Amino acid sequence: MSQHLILCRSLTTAQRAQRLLERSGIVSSVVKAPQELTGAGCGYSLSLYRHFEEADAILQRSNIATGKRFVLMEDGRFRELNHDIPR
Amino acid sequence: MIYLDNAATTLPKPPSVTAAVNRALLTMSSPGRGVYAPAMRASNVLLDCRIAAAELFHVPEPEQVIFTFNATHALNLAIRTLAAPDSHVLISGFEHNAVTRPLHALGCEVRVVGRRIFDPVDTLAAFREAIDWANLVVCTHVSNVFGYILPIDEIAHLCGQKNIPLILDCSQSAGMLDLDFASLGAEFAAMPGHKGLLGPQGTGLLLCKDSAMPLLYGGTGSDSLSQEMPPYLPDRLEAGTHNMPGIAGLLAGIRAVQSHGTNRILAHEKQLLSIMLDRLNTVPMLELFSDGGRNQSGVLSLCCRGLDSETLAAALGEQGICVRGGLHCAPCAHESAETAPDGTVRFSPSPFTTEEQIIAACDALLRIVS
Repeated sequence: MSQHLILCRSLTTAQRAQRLLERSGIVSSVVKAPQELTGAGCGYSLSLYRHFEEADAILQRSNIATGKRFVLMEDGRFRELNHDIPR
Repeated sequence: MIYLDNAATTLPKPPSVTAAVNRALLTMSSPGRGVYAPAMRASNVLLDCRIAAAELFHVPEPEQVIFTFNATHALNLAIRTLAAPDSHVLISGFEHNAVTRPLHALGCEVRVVGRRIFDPVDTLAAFREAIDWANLVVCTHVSNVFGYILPIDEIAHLCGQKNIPLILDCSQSAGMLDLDFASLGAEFAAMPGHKGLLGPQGTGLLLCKDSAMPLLYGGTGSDSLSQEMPPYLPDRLEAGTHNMPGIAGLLAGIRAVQSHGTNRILAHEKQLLSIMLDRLNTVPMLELFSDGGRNQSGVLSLCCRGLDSETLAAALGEQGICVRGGLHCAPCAHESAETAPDGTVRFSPSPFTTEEQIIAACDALLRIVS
C-alpha cells in the first residue's frame, strides 16, 4: 500500500474531490501538499493509500479540476505519475 | 415588541442559526490554514455553505459562490469588475445606494430607466428602449422600499440577446423568490446573508461566473509564494480570514429557508400584506403603495398625510412596532415613486411574522393617525 497524492489547486477542490470519492466508498484525506511538489507554496492535495486507480478514474470523469498525481517511493521521495504508469 | 423591519435584517433568527454561530465560536478556527481538526471543521462548513447556496440558486459549481461581508460588498466586487469610468450603465428606477454609489464613485455614466412602480411591462419596455446605449446593466430583483418585483427573467433575456453583462441585486429576493442563476445568465448576483437567508449580520454572497476581479488582496492560504492573487475561484475573491461564526449561521439559515420553501415564505408574506391592505386601504389619510400583491413581495410602504415618515416611524416605535421610515438608502426608488425627499414608512415581515402581529401593528398605526 503506497501513499498516493493528488494535487488540488485549492482547498475547496480538495474537499470536493474527497467527498466525491467518499460517495464511491474510497477513503482519502485532505492534506497540505509538500512544498516541493506545488512549487507555489501552500497547496492542498488528497492522500490515499488504496484504490488509487479507481479514484483517479472517478476524478478524471468528474468536473473537479485536480492536478498532478504522485506516489511515495521507498526512498521517501515522491515520483510523479505520468505516462509510465497508467491512470 | 413587534419587529417589522425584516427588509433591513431579519429578526428573530431560527434557533438553529444561533446554535450554529455558537458552535463555530466554540469549535472552529480559520479554514484553509491547516488540516488540523478545528481548521477542517471550519473548511467543511465553508464548503457545505457554498454547496447549499449553489443548490438553492442553481449555481453550476460551488466555487462560484463567494463569501462577502454583506450585499454591498458583493455589489462593489461585481461593479468594480465590470464597470469603468467611461462605462454606460443602465439601472432600474428602484436601485439602492449600494448600487448607485459605487457607480458614482467610479464616474460611470448612469441612465435610470423604468420609473413606473408595479409595472413590469413598462420596466421591460424602458430597458429594451435604452439597452443599445449600455455596456452594463445593474438591476434589483425586488425594490427594498416598495417590494416591487421587477421582471428580471425578461431583463436577463434581453441582456443575453444583446450580449450586455448583467449584475443582479438580490438583496430583497434571496430566500423568498426562486432564482436560477445558471438559466438567467447574469454575470453576478449579489445578496446579503442576514435578510431572507436568515443568517447573521456580516454575511453576504456573490454568485459569479469566472470574470470576477478581487476587491481585497491578501492571504488566502494558497499559492503563497506568488504576490498575485490565486487565479481560481473562490480563493481569488476571498482574501483574509473568513467570518466563520457568520458563515456557520448562514448555512443554518439557508437550510431553514430550504426546509420552509421559498414558495411558502413568499405566500405567507403576501398573505400578511393582504391583511394590511384590508385593514388600511380605507383610511383616507394613508397612501399605500401596492398593486394588491400581483408584482409585490410582502413589503408595504405608506405615507400619512400631515405626518412625515420619520415621525410616524418613531411614533410606532414608541408603541413597540419596529418599522423603518425615511428613504431606506434608496433615493432613486423614492424619486421614481415621487416620495422623495420625505420618504415612506416601510413594513416588512419575515417568515416568522404572525397574522396577530400584523393586525396589532395596523391597530397601532390606526390609533396614531386617528
